[in-house]
Amino acid sequence: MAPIKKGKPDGGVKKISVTSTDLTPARGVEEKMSWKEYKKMKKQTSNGIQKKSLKMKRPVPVADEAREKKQVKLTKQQKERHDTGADAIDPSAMRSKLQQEKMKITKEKFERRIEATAKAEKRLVENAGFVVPDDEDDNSLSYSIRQKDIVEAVDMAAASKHFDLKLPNFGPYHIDYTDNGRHLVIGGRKGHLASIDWQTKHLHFEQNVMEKVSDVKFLHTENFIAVAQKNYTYVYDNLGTELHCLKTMYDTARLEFLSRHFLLVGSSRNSFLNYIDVSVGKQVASFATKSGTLDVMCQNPANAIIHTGHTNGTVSLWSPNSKEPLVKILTHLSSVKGIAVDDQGNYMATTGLDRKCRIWDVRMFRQLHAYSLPFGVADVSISQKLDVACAVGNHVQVFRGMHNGTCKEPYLVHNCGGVVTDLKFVPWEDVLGIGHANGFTSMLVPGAGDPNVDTLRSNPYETKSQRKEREIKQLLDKLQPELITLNPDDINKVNEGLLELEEEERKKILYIRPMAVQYTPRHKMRSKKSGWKMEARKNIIKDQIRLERNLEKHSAEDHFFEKPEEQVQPKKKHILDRLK
Amino acid sequence: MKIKVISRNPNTYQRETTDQRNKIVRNFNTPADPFRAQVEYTRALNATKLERVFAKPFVASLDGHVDGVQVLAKHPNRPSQIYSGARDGTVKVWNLASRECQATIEAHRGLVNDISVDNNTGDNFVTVGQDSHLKYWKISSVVDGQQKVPAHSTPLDGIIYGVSHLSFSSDFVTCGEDISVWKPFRETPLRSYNLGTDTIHTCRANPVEENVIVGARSDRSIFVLDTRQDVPVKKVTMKMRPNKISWNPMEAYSFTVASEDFSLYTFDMRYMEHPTQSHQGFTSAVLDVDYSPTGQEFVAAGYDRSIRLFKARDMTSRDVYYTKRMASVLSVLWSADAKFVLSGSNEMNIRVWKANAAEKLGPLTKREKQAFAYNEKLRDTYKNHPEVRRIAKHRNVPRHIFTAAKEHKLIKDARARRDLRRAKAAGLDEEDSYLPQTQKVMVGDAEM
Repeated sequence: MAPIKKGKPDGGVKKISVTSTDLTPARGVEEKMSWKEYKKMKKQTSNGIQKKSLKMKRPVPVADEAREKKQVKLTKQQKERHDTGADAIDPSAMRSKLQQEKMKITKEKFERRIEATAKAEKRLVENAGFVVPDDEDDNSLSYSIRQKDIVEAVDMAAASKHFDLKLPNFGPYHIDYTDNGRHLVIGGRKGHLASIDWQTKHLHFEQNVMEKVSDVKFLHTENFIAVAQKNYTYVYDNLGTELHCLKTMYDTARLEFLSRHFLLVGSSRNSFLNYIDVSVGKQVASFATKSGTLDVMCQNPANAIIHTGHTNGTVSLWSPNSKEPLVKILTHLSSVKGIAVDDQGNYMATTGLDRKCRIWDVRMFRQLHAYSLPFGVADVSISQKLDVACAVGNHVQVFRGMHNGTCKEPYLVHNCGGVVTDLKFVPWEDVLGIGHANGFTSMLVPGAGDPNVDTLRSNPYETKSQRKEREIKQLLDKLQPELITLNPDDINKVNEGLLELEEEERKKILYIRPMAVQYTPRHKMRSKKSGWKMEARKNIIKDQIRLERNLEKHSAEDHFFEKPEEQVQPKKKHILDRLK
Repeated sequence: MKIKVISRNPNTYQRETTDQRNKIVRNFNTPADPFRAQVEYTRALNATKLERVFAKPFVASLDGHVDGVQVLAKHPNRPSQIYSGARDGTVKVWNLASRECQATIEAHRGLVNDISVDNNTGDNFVTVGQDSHLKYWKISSVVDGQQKVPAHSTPLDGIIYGVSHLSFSSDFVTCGEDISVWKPFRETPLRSYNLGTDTIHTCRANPVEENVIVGARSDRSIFVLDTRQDVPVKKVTMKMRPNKISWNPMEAYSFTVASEDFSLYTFDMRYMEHPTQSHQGFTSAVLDVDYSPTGQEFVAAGYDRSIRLFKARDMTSRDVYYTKRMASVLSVLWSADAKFVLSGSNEMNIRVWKANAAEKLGPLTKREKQAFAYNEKLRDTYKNHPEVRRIAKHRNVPRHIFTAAKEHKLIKDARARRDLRRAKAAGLDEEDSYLPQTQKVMVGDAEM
């Protein structure tokens, strides 16, 4: 661009006139400029102009700017509470630039999430319950507080949640609440059965089934109640009408309901575990656990695994897909009396005859803490806020902070006046339901429940139409029993090991020589001792074993050598069969 | 001691009267649902099953022709207007919305070889026939006035096999003994390209680039021609005859060839040495192919009495349509609104199919739309789960297709084994001697 004179143009230099489209500098250019140079210059200037105009076309909206500036400053506590791993993401650790950018985006996403949840926290309507000393000098112990003190201290609506049902004639009682915590069913050992909307104290029904009642359980709504009776398990509706008699659930000690899978689980005294799909009324699984009476059982609400406690101190984990326990944990050196797992499936509490209450990490199967209790330990229960309630003889002791080891003494203590048999925390309430020999007690435990309900998930104020709708949605989303695994997220992972293992196993079959079948028929007293018959029986069994092995081998051969399949004309199928 | 327990005001949660809606109180800080993945999987599985239950692709049959439907054409800017030409020389204009025939004209003596509609004005169309005539028709007078004579007719020396309008133009190209570029209503072509003695049996003008034409000749070669030049830009020869060609309307450089060897091949105009992708699934020759206006998918017609829908980059077909009475399909068309597929078959029917077999037709409520979108996303997310994939991929096909496919697989495998053994015997490396299917189908090198 030599021709453009930087200094003041001379008077003698002619100037090119500037048209509107011509974007030469206003002061003009010298005529001496060649065509090529002029074009080059024009291109440059026009480029500059274009860029400018582009910029002008994209003004940054003021609102956006303001919002960016106004980014919410999170306090350290808030960050800790809501951080789901944003801190751990380090984009610079990625090797390629693309991955770095990707991680940056992911990190931003996580950070936005933290912010969003922190904001959402402000919108929560309800406040959690608590017990705090009046001033710093107040050294009184929280477990010296009696229920009547709490009732006096709180408002009337809350005070009405503490009540006693004195039913000494039919006890001891087993109890259960619905998933939304609104309804209560109590079943006395001597056959007394009652279903109550315990907040309004409206009695749905009350009757005597004239038979021993071992356990009661609500199914997915308050309209269905499963009751383990002397011989069989029965299902009643909310008016006390007997709907079903489940004869396959024989001599059941405890009941559990897996609401996502619509499975009613009964653990029987003859060591059988029964799974019944209540949506279709079919038995899904039934097998002997071979570990004695199963009178201690609970479910892990986070993965629908059944935990059973045994007299030898072990806890076994069961799914309907395996006849063997998935995990066996030696929890106590004496028999296990109570198990409970928290809603998130992180902690398990067990109590045993060794007077210990132990807290376990269910994902690692490792003991976290152990606490000594007085004599007479029985049932245990964990609340939404991880308070642990233990039944100790006639008393109930509630502990706070057992899961993180901060617990030194009971948080609350209550004497029920009869041996405590069943404990259940009410979801979304600061209430612990106690079934005992003298009836039922609804005990106030400040700070036990989650105060803020997400009514789309679980609604204590559900109307009839909402309940109907929920029932249908729940049925549509019913999970198949095959999906029950220790980690429910397994379904989103690649199962590499299994495939390899299967291939290896099948390959092995090819190289195994047919082994001699050893079989000696059982000595039968009743039949006559006939050598020929014995031989015939022997041959039948031997042939069967050989046939099975050969079939297995052939299938392996077909698999590895891809033998062309025999063409079998399929039968005329129903139109919907292809979806099977 | 200060004591407080949870005490809710029921009015926050309950509606006052039954006229109101139920109140919803959310807590966005509830812990994540541990069963989320399983629930989504279950929903995806159900959505996939439902999709197969509702997969009823057949919409309607447009009957009226008295001979096999040789050619189908669409209007550039009237989505509901469809043109069909039969083997007896009649051309019909159809209204797709009402499924009625708007006009019937005895256009040619003998076959109607091709139909093409003006891309510029959209008010006339050109037909060519086995009777060596090139005829112009005014759409308005044919449809409204029921005029049975062409606006203009040009007798020619040789038979013309294909006609295709250039993009954004009233000019068109024809192919037969040579390739000619025409202006409308002229007795002689503007330009002619003589590409040799072989007959050119199909040609298609690029829908984006005004001057680019692709065609196929009876010596099994495919050529690309620029009408601004004298000689073809590129020419390649395949082992089997390319029957029909369709440009991808969204990728100006790629086109798909329906081949006699039961497959389709997608070429990149810039690298024509061999196809970029083969599309398989037919058990007989592929007679016609047409792209969706979205450029994402195409439909192909098979001599094996089926039509198949392919994703443009996939080797296997996304879906296969057939009916009991449908004979070999001679022509297919993807409708301009991308929602329907038409097939003209040898037994005189034009069938209208849904492009997505399970799609619900008609206006949808907002909630329906949301549900469908959610289900589609679920199906997509979980498509690689064995059970979902099995259900989504399963198609019942007529027995003749099923057995033929099996047989072809046997033959293909046997050939692969043979090639491998030959390479071994010749002392070649197994991996080096392997040629992908796309390279095996070409003969010699491309001519530039």
